Amino acid sequence: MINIFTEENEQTVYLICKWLESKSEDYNLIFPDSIDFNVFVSKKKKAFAKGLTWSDFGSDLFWYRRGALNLIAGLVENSDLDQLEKSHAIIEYDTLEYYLNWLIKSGRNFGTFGNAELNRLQTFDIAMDNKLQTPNYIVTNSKSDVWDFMRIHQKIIVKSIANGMFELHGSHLYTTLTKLFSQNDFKKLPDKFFPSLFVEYINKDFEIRIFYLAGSFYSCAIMSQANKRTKLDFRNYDLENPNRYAPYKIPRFLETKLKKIINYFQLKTCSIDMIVRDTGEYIFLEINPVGQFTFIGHPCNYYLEKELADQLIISKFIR
Amino acid sequence: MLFLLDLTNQFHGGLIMISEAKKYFTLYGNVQIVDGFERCLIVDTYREKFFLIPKSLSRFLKRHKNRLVQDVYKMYSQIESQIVDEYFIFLKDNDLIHFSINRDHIKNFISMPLTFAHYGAIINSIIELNSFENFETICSFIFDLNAINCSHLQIIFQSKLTKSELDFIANKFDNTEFRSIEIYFEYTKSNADFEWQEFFIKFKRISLIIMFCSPDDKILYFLDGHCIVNYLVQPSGKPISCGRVSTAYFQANTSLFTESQHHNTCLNRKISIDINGDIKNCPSMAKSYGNIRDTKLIDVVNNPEFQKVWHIKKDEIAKCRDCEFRHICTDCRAYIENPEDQYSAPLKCGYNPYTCEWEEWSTNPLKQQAIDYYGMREIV
Repeated sequence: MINIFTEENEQTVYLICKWLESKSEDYNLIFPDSIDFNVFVSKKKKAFAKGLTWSDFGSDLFWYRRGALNLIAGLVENSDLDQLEKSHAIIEYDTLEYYLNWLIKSGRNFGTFGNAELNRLQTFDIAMDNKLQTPNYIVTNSKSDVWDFMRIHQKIIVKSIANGMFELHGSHLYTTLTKLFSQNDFKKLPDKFFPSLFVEYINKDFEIRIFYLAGSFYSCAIMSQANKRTKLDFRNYDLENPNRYAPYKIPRFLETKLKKIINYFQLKTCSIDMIVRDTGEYIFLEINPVGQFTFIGHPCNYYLEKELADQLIISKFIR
Repeated sequence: MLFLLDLTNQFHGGLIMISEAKKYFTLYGNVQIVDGFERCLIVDTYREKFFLIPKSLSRFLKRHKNRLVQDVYKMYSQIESQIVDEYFIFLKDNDLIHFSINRDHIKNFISMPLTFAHYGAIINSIIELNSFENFETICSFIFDLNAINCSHLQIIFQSKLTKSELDFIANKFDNTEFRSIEIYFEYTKSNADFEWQEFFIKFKRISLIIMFCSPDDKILYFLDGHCIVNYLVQPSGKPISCGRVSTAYFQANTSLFTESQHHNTCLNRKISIDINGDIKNCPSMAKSYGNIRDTKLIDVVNNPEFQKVWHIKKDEIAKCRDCEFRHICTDCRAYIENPEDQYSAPLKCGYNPYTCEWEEWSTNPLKQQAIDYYGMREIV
């Protein structure tokens, strides 16, 4: 049995499941905030069930794709418990979740909850340790530091330190996209402010989105530079005239360096964002362990969902 | 020797590319060239567009890809440079090539893998029915198709359908996973005031309704164009495109282009049931692999004889193998020029890749014998 933790209506997981079905593989989909499962832990048995089939944490495969594991959060939130009782229930659950995560991590898995989000600043450090070029950046809460940084770099952008948000509130999409930091923005800045991340703006030839899976790199060049809308952030999609996406092969030396970071974070799969400077260098931007990849696999005809399904099947037999 | 594209009459004397002169260029990997006998086709599978080009441009691209632009110009005379200009402008304006000052980057723009795969044992299915009364007899067959992840279903009724019958059919398949269901039936006046918008919102699997014998040809679009109601004057429920080859049916997408490299684009992973319940590759073909009364779907799907026609590639078919449109064309194996030879050209194709002209296929003297063979005299 292959157990997949995922968000509901995830097109990528749907396609992966279709490939698993085509190979007659059994799978469970486990959604956050749902409690249609059983968990049982004793000295001898540590198991998980959805429906009638029990999966053993020691021997069955678990894959954390996306979504929080807070399977009972909704249950606690909507209960009659008072605030103190609620917070205790959540601590109880968090502790159990930590343990389940550890069980998954020490058993057969294709990525666990702990890997869902990497720390951007830590990732920069690890990238630099492995001789990858990263953009210049500062994290500061003082206006004078920003002034000094702006004097060195013609153009700077402001980025969230955490991973960006991408959430629907009613009919509105709340997102944190990368934004150019102007002279006007600077003027409005108080002397002390909430610590923020400022990054140098890099003139790019194009962007590369890389999908890593079990030792292989599948890359796609995104020609976002030519389009004013997508120049800063390719997610600022231009639906009328979409950017060219094209199959690309990153050089071997880059693969070697990236593999070191991937191994450091113990990832089986992830998405990597890089940009290629017009002068030729590859600049590392970030790693997303749960990034989307269907949108690059399709234009390049990589069949990434099929590859991933194949890897899940192989992983059933590897610890 | 270079030939003009005949796209523009402006000449720039080899200077137009001055801004890119010191850059290398390459074709994007999801832009493919298909060589025909007399001319070639550029297929942009990413933007789903195609462009007819002279053979000289195809050779130009193959020869000079990855070169420095100014080095390319050096190989041509002043007069030819004007044509090189034209080529570059055409390629650049249509976003088919990438320029870069970095030679290594240019080489990393690899060609797209041309593999084709699909998770469904069957991808397309066509079911013909005499009337609504026979609908129940094929339901379990359709659920079996759903179970093997068939993506597309066409149900063709050779009769009228009432509103409640249509609702009944749509409702039956609401819990299936077909990506599209198309229903064909004969137009009746009582359906004229049908609330299509509500129908498509309620039944998410249905993507197309076609009513033949309609008073006039008319297309209505619903839900941002995802759902279509098409009224057709034509008297028969057979899809009008059945077997026809024309520019209107060309599709420049990755799926068809890659499938065409390995399989037959008309019949690969297709199954159909005709009005007698006979299971075939296509309702217009003669050979039956059993009747739904006594044959299991999976047995037919796994039958190597049934799968044989899936593998007839365009590169092996007479005429098609010389045609520049071969990998964006849907072909037809039911009606062919020589019914004795599975590798003969589609009968209803009027294109001649040796003269590059479209002719009326039905009056072609070489096709008359086949037209009689299929008894199509009154249709054409």
